[in-house]
Amino acid sequence: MIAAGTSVRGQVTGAEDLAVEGRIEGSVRLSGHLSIAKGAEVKAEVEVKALDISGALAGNAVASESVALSSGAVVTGDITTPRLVIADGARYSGRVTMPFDIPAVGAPAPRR
Amino acid sequence: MAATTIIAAGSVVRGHLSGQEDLILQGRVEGSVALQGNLDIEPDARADATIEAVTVRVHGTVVGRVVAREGIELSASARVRADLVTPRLVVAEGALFSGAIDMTGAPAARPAITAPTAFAPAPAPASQPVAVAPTGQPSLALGADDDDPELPGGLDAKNIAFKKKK
Amino acid sequence: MAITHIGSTLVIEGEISGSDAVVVQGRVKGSIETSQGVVIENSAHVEANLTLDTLEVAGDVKGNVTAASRVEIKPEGKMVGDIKSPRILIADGAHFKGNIDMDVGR
Repeated sequence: MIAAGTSVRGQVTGAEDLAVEGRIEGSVRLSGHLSIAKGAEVKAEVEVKALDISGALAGNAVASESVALSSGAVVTGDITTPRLVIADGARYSGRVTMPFDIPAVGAPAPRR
Repeated sequence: MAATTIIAAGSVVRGHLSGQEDLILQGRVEGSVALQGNLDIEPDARADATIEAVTVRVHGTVVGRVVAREGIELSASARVRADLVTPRLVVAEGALFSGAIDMTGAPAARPAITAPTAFAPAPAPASQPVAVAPTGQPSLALGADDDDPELPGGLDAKNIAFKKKK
Repeated sequence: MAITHIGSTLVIEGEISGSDAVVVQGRVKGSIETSQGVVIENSAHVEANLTLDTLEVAGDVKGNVTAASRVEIKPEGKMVGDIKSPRILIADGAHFKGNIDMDVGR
């Protein structure tokens, strides 16, 4: 956990979950879950299993499982993930990539 | 209010559609749509188009570009490969999306996004994309509405359905 | 039966095709093709070739029509174009200008 008054500059790596309430500048690589709390600021390239953002993220994010932006999240940067939830009130600008195919026109519509 | 246009499931419209009314797409559109009204794209519908509308609710397939004056909602059955330009956006769990998102415009004074319709399979209630109530009215919102920035973000994170499976 | 309904403020430049009935209250410029019926209501302006099973015109149509079953031009209707249909009814008061061919595959 990175507490509210704490600033980290550099590479953050680990096999654990991390809750950020302060600031990180640099990069974050976790095989666990990163949560960016409201008021927290992460300016970093992020590579994690799951990412929950209620605060601010500036940087590209790659998640192997999921990304969720809560209302109040402010995110810029590209997001690559198999699952994505964006709540009303979140603000995002960037490019999202999720793995799926849309068949060419004329084929049946993809079904869940 | 002007009549709502419905493009039924067996119909394909190719070309440019414009109007000052709502449009429900159950079939297909190829080309462009410019509406001073709301657009609902139903689960089996498909738009290969450049779309401009007030609010766009996607339950089906969209390929192209979507510009909304008030908001865009992608429900759980949405399959979208398009760039989105909008002041407000809700992406429900299950939606599949690839494209650029530009939310740099300011939100409209009057919130336009409502809770998903019956088309979307209901996820666990806590994770349901939310209605944002106008200021002063009771809100079903999971997240904070625009006037209340103090709702703890961590609360939202815990309620997201997929996280419960861990 | 599903009905495609083009509302009164809608303008389509292009083609409508498919297997639904079509009701037009707005404007269509291009073509309409369906295996079902088409109704052009009083407020509608259609500049298009129409291929359909049945057609009812109470609005403004400019274009050629090929109907598998029948065409009816209502008293409020106005049509300029050729009609190919086994059955045709042009009501008293309707405006029509064009050729009529009722000799379709009989």
